[in-house]
Amino acid sequence: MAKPKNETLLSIEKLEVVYHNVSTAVLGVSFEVRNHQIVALLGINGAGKTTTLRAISGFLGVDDAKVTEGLIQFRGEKIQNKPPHFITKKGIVLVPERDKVFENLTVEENLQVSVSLRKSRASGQDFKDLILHYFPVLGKVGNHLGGYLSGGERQMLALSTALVCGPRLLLVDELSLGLGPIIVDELMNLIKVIRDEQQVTVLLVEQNALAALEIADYGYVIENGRIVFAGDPDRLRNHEDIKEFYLGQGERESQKSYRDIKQYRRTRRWYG
Amino acid sequence: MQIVVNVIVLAALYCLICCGYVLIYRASRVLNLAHGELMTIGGYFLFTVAIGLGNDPVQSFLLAFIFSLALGFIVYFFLMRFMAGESALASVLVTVALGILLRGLITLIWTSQYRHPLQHLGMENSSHQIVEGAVISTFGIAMVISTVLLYLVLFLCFKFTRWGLRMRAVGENPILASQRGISLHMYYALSWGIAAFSVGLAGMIQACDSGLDPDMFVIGLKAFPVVLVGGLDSLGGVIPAAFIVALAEILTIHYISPQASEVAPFVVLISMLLIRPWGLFGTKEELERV
Repeated sequence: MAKPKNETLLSIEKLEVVYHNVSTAVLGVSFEVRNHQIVALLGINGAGKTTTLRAISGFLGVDDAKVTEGLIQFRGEKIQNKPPHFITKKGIVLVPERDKVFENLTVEENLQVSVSLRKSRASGQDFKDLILHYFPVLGKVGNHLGGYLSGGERQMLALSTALVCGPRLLLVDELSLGLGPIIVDELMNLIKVIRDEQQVTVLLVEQNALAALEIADYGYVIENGRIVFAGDPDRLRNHEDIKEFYLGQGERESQKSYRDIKQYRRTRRWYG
Repeated sequence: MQIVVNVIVLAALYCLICCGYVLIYRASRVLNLAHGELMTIGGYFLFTVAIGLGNDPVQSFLLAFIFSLALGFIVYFFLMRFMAGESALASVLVTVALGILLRGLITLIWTSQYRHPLQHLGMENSSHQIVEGAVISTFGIAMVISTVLLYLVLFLCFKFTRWGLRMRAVGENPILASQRGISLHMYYALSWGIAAFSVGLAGMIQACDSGLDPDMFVIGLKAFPVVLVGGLDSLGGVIPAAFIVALAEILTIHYISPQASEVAPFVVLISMLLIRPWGLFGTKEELERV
């Protein structure tokens, strides 16, 4: 406990998740999240990002998924294959990629549904002020149904309901999905502010690497269920392959034909 | 006038029964086909408690309420809990099996003899003339009042209490609800508890009104069209649906023949399924699940 700021909060070791008893979705992912960091987990579609987050936040019976091997440790405690509500009470709260708000409940009701870690009833009002402080828009749409919100408002509401749970570690799945660049910037900055003011650690899963690396302290690249590259944002940003495939700013952009890209993709290799 | 009163009492009975169907379905997407048996058992609980306590209606009813509530929790924790996450069809079949089992147990424990809990409660079921040419029995009034009270309480709870909100949240998106820290088992058990309680209450009042035998579960079966007409996931839809079905049934008794009345709810159901398969107030997409 000498340097609590850099203490490892969450560590994943050789995680393997199996769906429906047969198909393996994540093959031996290992990474760690340190206290007070914003960590970005980057990768393309189907790389295993969402599965990793779901494994951390817990599976339900309906998911028919299981962590078959490896370790998920949160503050030194093994938490794999525990039900989601247990994990939420431990302080890990997920903002899922879709179905992130209750569509038939109003904004106010959505906020009341979350089970707060902080027990006292008196803190209810504080929470509301806190949420309105970060997301003033939600105050104006308090009576609207969750299903009628715009994409940005919906994401804000999802973040808010997660915050009401009082997380130590916030897992955010695809913050930028379906949102315009301005609102993405705004939300990313808000996450940074919330991290600083609320002492929350954030694990961010993103396809939009550029936006995520803006605020991240550390990043991992996940591909085909494996971590292939890791480093701080500068290192990631300067890596040729990441520039090419995640940031869309390869150097030979102009002279490249589609065929070259395909070839390059096949020979892409990762070195750490 | 008598017809109107009869329709109201029967509709109240259906409302009381169906609220359990809807609660369980909304929370866990399971259709409880053992509902009629839970109702019968409610009646027998009252009968047994009444014999045990003798001439003490208040305590007898309270104790029987507690038994019914407990039965719901027990069914969930010892049976339905293990079906969580299985396909909806599997869960429904389990409730069918549960129904058969309960029916057997009822006959074993209480025999198929006709019972009258009212004798043991020391109460009388008298007729009251409320308006010119219309009578209603004491327990008919009790049925209407308890239905109104139950629905009022449930609506207020769902709208204004935290657990009511969470119950709705669980029904809408169990995964997200769980990720927001809600223990699903607690709320599923609660839905089973309230369902068993409300349908047990219906069984108790019905038993006081017109006696009790193991065949009472048929009423639960007849109430099933009401939920389908109202829309499976809509508590508000139950009320108009109950009136429609009750009206059809009473009119059949009055103008065609009492024997035909058993069929009337199902005729309503079939015509409903032809016109609006998802029910009066149901959600369209819910249809595929059953």
